[in-house]
Amino acid sequence: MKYVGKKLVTMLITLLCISFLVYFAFDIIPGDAALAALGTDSTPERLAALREQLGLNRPFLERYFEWLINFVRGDFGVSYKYKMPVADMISSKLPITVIMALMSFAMMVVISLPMGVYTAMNSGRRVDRLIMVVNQVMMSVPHFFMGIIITYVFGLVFRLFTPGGFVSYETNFGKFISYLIFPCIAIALPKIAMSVKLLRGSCIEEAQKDYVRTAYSKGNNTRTVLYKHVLRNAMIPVITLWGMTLADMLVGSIVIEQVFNIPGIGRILLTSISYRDYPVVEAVIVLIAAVVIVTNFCVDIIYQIADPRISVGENG
Amino acid sequence: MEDLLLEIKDLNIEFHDHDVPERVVNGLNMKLKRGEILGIVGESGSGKSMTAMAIAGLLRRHDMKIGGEINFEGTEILHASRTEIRGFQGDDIGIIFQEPMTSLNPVKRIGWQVEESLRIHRPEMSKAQRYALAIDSLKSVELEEPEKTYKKYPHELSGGMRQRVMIASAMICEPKLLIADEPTTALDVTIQLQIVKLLQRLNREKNTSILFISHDLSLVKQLCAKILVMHDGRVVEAGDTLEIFTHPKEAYTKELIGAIPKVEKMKQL
Repeated sequence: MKYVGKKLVTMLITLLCISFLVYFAFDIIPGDAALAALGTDSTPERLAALREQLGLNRPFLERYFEWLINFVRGDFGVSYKYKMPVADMISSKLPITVIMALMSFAMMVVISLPMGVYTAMNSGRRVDRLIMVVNQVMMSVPHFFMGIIITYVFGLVFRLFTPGGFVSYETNFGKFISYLIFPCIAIALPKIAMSVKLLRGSCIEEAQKDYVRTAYSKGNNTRTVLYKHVLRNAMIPVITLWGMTLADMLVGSIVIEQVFNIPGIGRILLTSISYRDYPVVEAVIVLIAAVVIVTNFCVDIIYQIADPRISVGENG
Repeated sequence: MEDLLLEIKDLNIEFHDHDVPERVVNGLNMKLKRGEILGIVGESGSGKSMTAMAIAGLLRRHDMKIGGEINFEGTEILHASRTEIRGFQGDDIGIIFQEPMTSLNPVKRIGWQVEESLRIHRPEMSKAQRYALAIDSLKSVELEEPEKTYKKYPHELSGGMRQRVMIASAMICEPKLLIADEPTTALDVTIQLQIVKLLQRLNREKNTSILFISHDLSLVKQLCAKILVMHDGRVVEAGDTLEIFTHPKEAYTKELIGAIPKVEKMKQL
């Protein structure tokens, strides 16, 4: 419990630093919301008036702390561009991004786990070598390019889905999921390749350890040795990878959202950056950071359960 | 010879993983009676561990050629099916290894590992029965606070304690044969002696035959009534321990005995 408390404080400090850095970065880069709204050919008087209205002429720290206090209270401010509460903008789009990330993650776990074990058991054979070659290719292709290929092959050639089409989860959840399947494949494929490779190597390494011989000497068969002994140990490095991957999927789907034209958090972030829409950018970035940090925290806990030799409780 | 437990006839083990086959055990013959402790001595690479692994059914059959016969209570281990061998392993034949630090699964609790053979060979037992037996077994290897040790992980125990846990889990089904493959090599001298005494006690109390493999002649002398000296995959000399120590016939045996450091000699220096 002491560990959890300590970790929570660190998490809060990290979030505070991130919010400050983002606020600061947008303050020093040239151009502001007023300029973005009115354009470069606007008169200085009109710009000054809008800045006054938006509160942009006040000192930086004053603006930051006011924003921060409101943020903690749950008031994320109002978008400069769309004139609607940021919280409303995010809350309708967040489920899309989160569901997409979770679907990709589930895909990765369900496919890479049996495949990693299978290739490890058949290592050196033809099946294994074939899978490893395909794996290497998948690993080297970035997910946005994979997205373009998938759109072309499955969308245009095989017509399995309509490229650019999207149905909101509020209108038809089933259709919504079916539109997400292909983007999720694009996100998951490189990650599947990575975790298959890691799990395979880890299984092969563990299978040569002394405790495996002990397990056989007690009368275990190959299957029970694999599932009760080897796999638990082989999963330890894979859990770390998966933890990082989950955070990566939540953040990284921003790019894939563009490729598949999905109106998630990524879309909001990109448009609001170009309009210098600080309240939106700040909220989205702090939110993403919070998700990543919380995910990492959960992974730390799971990791500790998986490997009893690691004790984060006392000296972590 | 009704009390014969194990008989090995003309055992040959040859590795075929390189172009030139390598013979690691060459025409080994031996007999082990019920309740007897037999020591196999020899330097590293003399084939003693390979013999032990063959008896325990732990040799991987590909990449090697195995000839001869290993009779364990009427079953020929070398040609038995995998399923049949698994029936023996952990139930009638227990084995402990040289490396107590790595021979236990690091992510499983001690109790789980000690009970493992019971779960495999006595599936009819209840959880409570298994727990009681595991605690008994941990007690019998003289581990303090067996209930606490039951819940611990291997990394929380010392090397000597881990080797005791290994013995407890190898002995839990009360096997007829316990193979101890250099069980004390990785341990301190004082702990070596404790382990040897423990094996001696278990042999007396449960009438378990022990095959004690070691390169440490002084330990073998204390524990075993009979010994078998191996060199380069061959049995050089076999017989009563006392006889061999007082009247070694072969030059190699003399050499081995001569290599034991003696207190008297040291005093002269």
